Amino acid sequence: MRGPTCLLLITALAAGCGPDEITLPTPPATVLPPVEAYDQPTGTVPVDQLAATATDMQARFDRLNESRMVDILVTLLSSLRRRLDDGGLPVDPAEPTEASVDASAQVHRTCRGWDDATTPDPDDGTLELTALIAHGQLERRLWTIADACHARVDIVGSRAAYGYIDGVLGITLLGQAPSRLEELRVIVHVDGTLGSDKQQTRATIDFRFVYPTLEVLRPVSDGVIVASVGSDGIQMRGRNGTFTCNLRMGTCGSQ
Amino acid sequence: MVQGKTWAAAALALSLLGGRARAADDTVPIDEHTAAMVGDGRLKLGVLAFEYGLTSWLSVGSDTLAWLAGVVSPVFAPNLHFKAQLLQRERYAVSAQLAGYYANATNDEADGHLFTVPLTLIGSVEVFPRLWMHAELNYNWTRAVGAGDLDKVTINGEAATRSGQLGLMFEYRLTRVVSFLARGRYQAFSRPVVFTGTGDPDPYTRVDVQAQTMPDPEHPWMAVGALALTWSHVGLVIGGGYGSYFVPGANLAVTDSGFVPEGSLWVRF
Repeated sequence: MRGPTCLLLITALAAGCGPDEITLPTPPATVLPPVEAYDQPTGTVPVDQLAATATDMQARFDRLNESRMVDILVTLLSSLRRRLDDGGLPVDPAEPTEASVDASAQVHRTCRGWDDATTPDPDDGTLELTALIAHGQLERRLWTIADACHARVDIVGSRAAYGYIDGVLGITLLGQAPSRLEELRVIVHVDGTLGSDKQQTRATIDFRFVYPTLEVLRPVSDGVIVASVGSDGIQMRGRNGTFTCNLRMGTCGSQ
Repeated sequence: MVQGKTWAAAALALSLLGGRARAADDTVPIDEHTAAMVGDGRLKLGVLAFEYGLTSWLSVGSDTLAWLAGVVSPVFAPNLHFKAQLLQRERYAVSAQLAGYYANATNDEADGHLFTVPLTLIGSVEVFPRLWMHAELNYNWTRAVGAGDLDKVTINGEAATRSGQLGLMFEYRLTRVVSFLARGRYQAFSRPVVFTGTGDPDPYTRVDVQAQTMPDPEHPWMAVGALALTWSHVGLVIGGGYGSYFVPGANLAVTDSGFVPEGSLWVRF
């Protein structure tokens, strides 16, 4: 009598229940420039078109600032960081966990909208960030799908800023997932529509943000050059050196 | 004088060891990793497990190490098991053990629970006089509910997974008290355990996590040798070997290959 009862129990338990394995999301096809391009730009700064190049660079900076891109990235990545921390999952691609874990974490954010509403409204658009973990190691490459996101960013002592993002963001972590702005170190390729509540523009922009410096890449005929905003104006770096343009003063020169 | 002292020491040793003349028919059986039972109405308090004989063929117990793991790790796994002897003859026996373990992985963000049910079939047979072979077939059913904090369900980076293990132990009973043991264990297969959970850090944000843990290595094994001393009320096993350390009862391999201690100590009332 004992034997058949035990065999029945064995069979029931052996059947098991619940999902066998997870299916990790597949990243969208996104072209990311090599990380090294920001430190060793491959292109030549067009010396005969410094002002025009600097003006184009300024426009890229303006689109990123209007869209509140950096603030949005901090919001998404800090939510991710908090969840990874609480779940005992790795937060730094350079420091894998002991456990052999495969995982995905998806941050779904309903954008706050361009009004004073305090409850989420799907009509204000969404952001969806996906991060993958393989064999206990956080992958450096993340991605975000922005769907007509009407972003609202509170600014201390000032009116709230309204940004707009629609498109795909390919993100490469240069350090750990940040918990605040000061820890943000990323390279991003954004392809879509960026802007503010006043205007939105189709754009494809590559930029690196290592707090507090924002740099953008610009393709030139023989590669890419890197630009940043300094105290003297737009600073552009290429294989042929570093050049600065002060668009307000209308002056450009080499350093 | 020296010769007299030598004989006295030998006599004392023989009396402690129980004498070679009284052999297999008067032994205190080892019940760990064998089909033997603790005995009707008997209580065993051991470093590895507590066991109480409800009847001669049914006992209930709990594995000590899983409770104590919380001292050195975030894992705290209350557990309970039943062992039933299905068949018992003079020279062979078959038993089955069913256990249940629970680990709480809940944190501030999400709920998470891990359930593990090891089911073990053990057959013991006297292949030669004094030489017993104990074979073990084990299946560990594991299910995760929610996500939570994986640190609370992993030991040394290893989490319980669905797995099947084989065990084999040879026991040579030199005297009533002294036995030599040679034991091996091998994880034949394993399947990942899936954790899924959702957290809401603020009204506008939802974070979904899905994760699966796999043993590393996938097929841990170990081989140990030991000396067992089993008096009527006290038992001691001490030895060592090589491979991965399997947490007794939970059958979780928690170390990479290296030296593996083998030991047990119990008091039986």
